[in-house]
Amino acid sequence: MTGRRASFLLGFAAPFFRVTAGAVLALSGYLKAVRHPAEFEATLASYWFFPGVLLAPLARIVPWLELVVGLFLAAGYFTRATALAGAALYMGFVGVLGQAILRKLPLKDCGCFGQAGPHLQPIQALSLDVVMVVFCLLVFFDREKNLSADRWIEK
Amino acid sequence: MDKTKKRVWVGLGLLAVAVVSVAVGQRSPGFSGEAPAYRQKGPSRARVTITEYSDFQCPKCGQAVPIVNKLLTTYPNDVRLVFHHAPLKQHKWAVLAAQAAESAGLQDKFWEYADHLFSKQTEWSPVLDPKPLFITYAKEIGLDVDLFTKDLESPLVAEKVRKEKEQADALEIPATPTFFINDRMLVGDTQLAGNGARYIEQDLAQ
Repeated sequence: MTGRRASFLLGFAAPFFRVTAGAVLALSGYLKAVRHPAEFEATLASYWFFPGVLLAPLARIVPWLELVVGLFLAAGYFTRATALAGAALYMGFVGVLGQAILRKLPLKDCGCFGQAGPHLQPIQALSLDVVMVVFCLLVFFDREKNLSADRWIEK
Repeated sequence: MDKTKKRVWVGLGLLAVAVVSVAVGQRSPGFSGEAPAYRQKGPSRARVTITEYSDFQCPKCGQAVPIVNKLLTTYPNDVRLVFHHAPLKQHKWAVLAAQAAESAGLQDKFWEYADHLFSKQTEWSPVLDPKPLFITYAKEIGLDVDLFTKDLESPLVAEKVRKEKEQADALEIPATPTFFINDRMLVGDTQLAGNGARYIEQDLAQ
């Protein structure tokens, strides 16, 4: 496949990748942001990864970060920057989940979507996050920005 | 409209969507201070109420007992504890254990029995039928064993525990143990140990 053809195909597929990666991120942030922060703090503590002093601030900040970056990404607003931020967030989740799996921590639920959302096993969440990292990177390399807020703004 | 204005409006619009959707959907589990007198500890007019949702088969709930007791002894005049059953479905004997504790409560020995259940958790949790052990524990703390056994099998006690479980489910208690210090939630023994005394001090200072 020529570079031009690949770029053309990516232009068509990128909106799907962008909306999917953004929506998953926004949904996981929303479902945690609407709940009491103590819940997510307890989830973070169960990973035995973060210093205790960071748990409360992270439990308050991360869901909002996910929600805002997810919404921006899904809408295609500052698309390349938010795709990069989304990839960074997903890679962070991969790292935290990966260390939990390697250490065989007894986690029944990744806690990614809070108490009310889908309950994924850590390995399922890790697989989803890896796919989302790929989606974000593909969006980052897409120059067309079809069906995005950026495209409308630049018109 | 120029590009900069468009960009600002789109950004503000997206941020507004985030803030409004969270504000509309926000829900914190509520809690109920209502519980039989035998499941309450401390002065009834205490300025701070610790409401606990607990499961006798949950190891973390057992680990929380000394932390709660320390808070109660540190603030003997200002803190009251209200206990609620929140037996988790993955714990096979949690409902029966709650029924046993309720049966002990009917003889006004809820707390002694609850302490016994937590301290012997590893003994009764893995057995095929913990009922004989529950009856032994009743004997050990001086309960009327015939009455205890009758209550343990009583549909009324079972119904009481079922209602408590329904209430905990409806409140979407995220895990056990979950505590409310007045209206502030703490999930797990670690959060209680880390923030319990601070929250109490803050509420007492108001």
